[in-house]
Amino acid sequence: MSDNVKDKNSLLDVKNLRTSFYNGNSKTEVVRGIDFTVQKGEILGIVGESGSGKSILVKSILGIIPSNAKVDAGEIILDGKNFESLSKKEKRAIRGRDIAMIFQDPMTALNPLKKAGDHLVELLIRVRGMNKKEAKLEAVELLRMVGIPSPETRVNQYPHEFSGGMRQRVLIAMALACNPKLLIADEPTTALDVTIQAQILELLKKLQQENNMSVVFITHDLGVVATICSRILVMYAGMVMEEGLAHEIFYSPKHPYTKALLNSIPRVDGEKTRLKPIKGTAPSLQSIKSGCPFAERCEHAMEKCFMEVPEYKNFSATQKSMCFLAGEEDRLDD
Amino acid sequence: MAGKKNRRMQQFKKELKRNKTAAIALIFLTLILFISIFAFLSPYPPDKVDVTSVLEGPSAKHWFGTDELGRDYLTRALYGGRISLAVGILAMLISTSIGVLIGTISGYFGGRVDNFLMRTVDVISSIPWMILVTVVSIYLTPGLKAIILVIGFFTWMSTARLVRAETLSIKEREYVLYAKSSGQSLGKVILKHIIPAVFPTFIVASTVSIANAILMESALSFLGLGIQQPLSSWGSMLQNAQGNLGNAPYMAILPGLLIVLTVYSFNRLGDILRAVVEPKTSGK
Amino acid sequence: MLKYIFKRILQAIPLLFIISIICFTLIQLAPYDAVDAMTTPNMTKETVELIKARYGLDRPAYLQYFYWVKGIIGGEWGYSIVTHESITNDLSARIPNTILLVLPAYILALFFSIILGLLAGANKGKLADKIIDGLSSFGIAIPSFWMAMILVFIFGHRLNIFPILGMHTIGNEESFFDLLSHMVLPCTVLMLSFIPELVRYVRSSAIGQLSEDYVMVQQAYGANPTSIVFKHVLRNVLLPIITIVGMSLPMLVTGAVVTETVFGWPGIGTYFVKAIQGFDYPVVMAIMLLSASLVIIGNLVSDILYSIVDPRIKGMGE
Repeated sequence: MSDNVKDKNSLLDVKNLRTSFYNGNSKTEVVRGIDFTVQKGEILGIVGESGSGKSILVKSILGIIPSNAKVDAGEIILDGKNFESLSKKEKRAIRGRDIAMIFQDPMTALNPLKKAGDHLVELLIRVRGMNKKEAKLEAVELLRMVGIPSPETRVNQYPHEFSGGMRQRVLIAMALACNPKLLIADEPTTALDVTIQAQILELLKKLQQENNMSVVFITHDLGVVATICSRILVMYAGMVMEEGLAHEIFYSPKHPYTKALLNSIPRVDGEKTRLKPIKGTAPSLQSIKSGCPFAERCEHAMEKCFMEVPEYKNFSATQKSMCFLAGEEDRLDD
Repeated sequence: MAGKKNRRMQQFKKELKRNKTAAIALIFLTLILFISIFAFLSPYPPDKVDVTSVLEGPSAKHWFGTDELGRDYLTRALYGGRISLAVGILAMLISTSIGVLIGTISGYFGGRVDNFLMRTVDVISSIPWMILVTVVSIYLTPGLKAIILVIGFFTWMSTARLVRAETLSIKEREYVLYAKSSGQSLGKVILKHIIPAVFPTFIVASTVSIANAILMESALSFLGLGIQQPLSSWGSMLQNAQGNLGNAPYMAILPGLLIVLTVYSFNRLGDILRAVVEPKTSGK
Repeated sequence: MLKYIFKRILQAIPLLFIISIICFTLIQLAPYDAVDAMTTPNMTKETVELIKARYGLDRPAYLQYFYWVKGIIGGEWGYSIVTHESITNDLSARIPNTILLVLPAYILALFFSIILGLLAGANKGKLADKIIDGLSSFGIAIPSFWMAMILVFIFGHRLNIFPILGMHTIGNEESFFDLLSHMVLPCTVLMLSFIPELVRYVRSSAIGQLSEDYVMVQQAYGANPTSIVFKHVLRNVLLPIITIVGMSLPMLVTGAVVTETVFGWPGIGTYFVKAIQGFDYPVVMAIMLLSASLVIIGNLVSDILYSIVDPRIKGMGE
């Protein structure tokens, strides 16, 4: 415990988390030893292509992975509480009280046969111990807070009567109902139109500041990360490739994968460079044997990269990168 | 094509290994088919009346006893199995053939043809099978032929629906569109492209269809509306057994068990075939 | 909403029309003359002609169809050619008996199936599921008459607890308890024959619902597994069951043909089997028409019920 207290500001500490999918006798590790912390009051972005294991990473923390997956190892400490020492029931109590989560697809995340308000009421009764009457009033209030017009009527409507953006707002209201210390947002804007995306991001940022929550924001979209996150984790094939403050990642990326990611998005700051898509596709996790997982697609890969996994190199108190060549700028910039 | 078949065969073996009851079901089916075919090897002729040993319980001489006319019950059950299996298999052939035919035509041509055929399916399936099959059977001379025809001709609707759905998706696939646009004749497109593609569905439907046909036949024969004397099937043997339930309960055991195990085994076989054909549903 | 119901009713009419034509054609095809049901061999030719004219049997077929339909709608279902009794009277005497048998069996079966199906679905792949699913796939393979024979043998012949034939003990027609004890075995057989398929349906529906995103969301918010099943999944599983219940309406009449025969229950089933065996065409056709119409009406009712209960459909018409 003692070395966990070193950082009074940290809310969530994850150490060496490993999660695998099991199919009969074959095992596929999708989260491959991840360490990270979430500070109080920060928005941490986790960026990666689809299949990089970012979603299963947070689901492992919450304990809502599919039945054919299993967390093999790892230590999770939330606000001084080590998950290992908690019973099943105590862990369940953390979900929805300390940690709340919003999901990628707002169309399927609500029970189609329950009114929007009932989702909130049920939660308020269970988590906040309200009675039915209080909960109903609070539900209207929450819908108002997330910017749903005429919440008094909306509260009695079924999910199919809401648009995608409005449903995501209902889900955010559910998260707020719990008054969580940590909000996990798993690609909350991916399924939405661009204009709605901006509104939802705006809302999340506002709510985060008002309630002083920590937010873990998962996305494959660096553009989204840039507008909202203060710190970024770049994931690839179940591992963290690089970690740093937003400006460090955007202006002095050290890892070839981060650079490649940045090169593959259009820049708005005027500099005209060619967009470079990353060669190849994300590897199937079953095929990875040894070495750096990005080696196959890396322009700078050396023989060594296929043999052993690089150690992290620290570049500042906040930035570290997992690459043999990280920091050797002359060799990385061609 | 050969590679695909091979892969399916391997998948089939894998499913068998994974699914123990299915493997037992398959062994049972092979066994029952085999001994029905070789029933004539029994030391007792199936119709030999022996008034000296009427309604005898199971003994070393007659393993499953004798019936009210002193005939060896096991031998009769094996011969009955021939009839029950024959009805199941032949009725299945008729019903799946009609089902595949109507299903492909309906799915392939779409529009009015589809509408007409599917409404017909709706109408026929709206009458409970028990009623439909018995009603039609009174227009025919009751017996083996009638029951095969009647079951075959009035149970194809679910196969037709399945095959139609399959055809709808297959006909939009590129190789079929290509074959059509390259001027292949209609019959050829259907025979060479559509039918092979719906074949797996057909196989799965056929095992379930055999099981249902056997159940239907047994119910009809039990009611006295199916197989008639001197032939007997498992169902008509049970009709017979009902009258002797008080004094010879063992007569109800063997045919009933054979029906249950056979039907169960065909359904199980259908389950693993489905798992092989649609790996998605079993992969989890 | 009303528009939808109205549309569904309109759709059902042509189907009823077609069914009625099929039944009528089958009656015409049958190797007997409808007038035989109303005459006796010693009537004079003139009398027979008179009766024919009275029932329109001397008119062309399409007019006869018209009279026939008019008769059916007016509750005039013709006469048995074997007993010369009015089919309407026979049916109205026997239908309640069948309902008395099928309805409690079906309700009990539904109740147990929902419990067992949910239990299996929520524990997919575990022991409870393996037992329930295994037994139900075995149950599907058991012919109901065989099950009936086994129960008759055990409880009737050996233990002698329950009566095995008919509805009442002779001389004891008024006793409710006597009726109840006659109902036990046939009801059990019917219930056991309904359960396996229903269980499988509920189970696969529950498995489907449990893999939905909204279930994961509820988990993420700390709801415990039992409350997820009862507060969220149950509704979604029960809703489609309405369809099944609606479609089972015809079973109230024809669902127990085999079971009634085994137990000599004086319902529609035994009536039907006797008619088939005696080539009593008018009776057979009447039952066929009745059951086919009930199927169509059942589908209609279940669609309408569904549209009332499911908020997603309710909202559509507006």
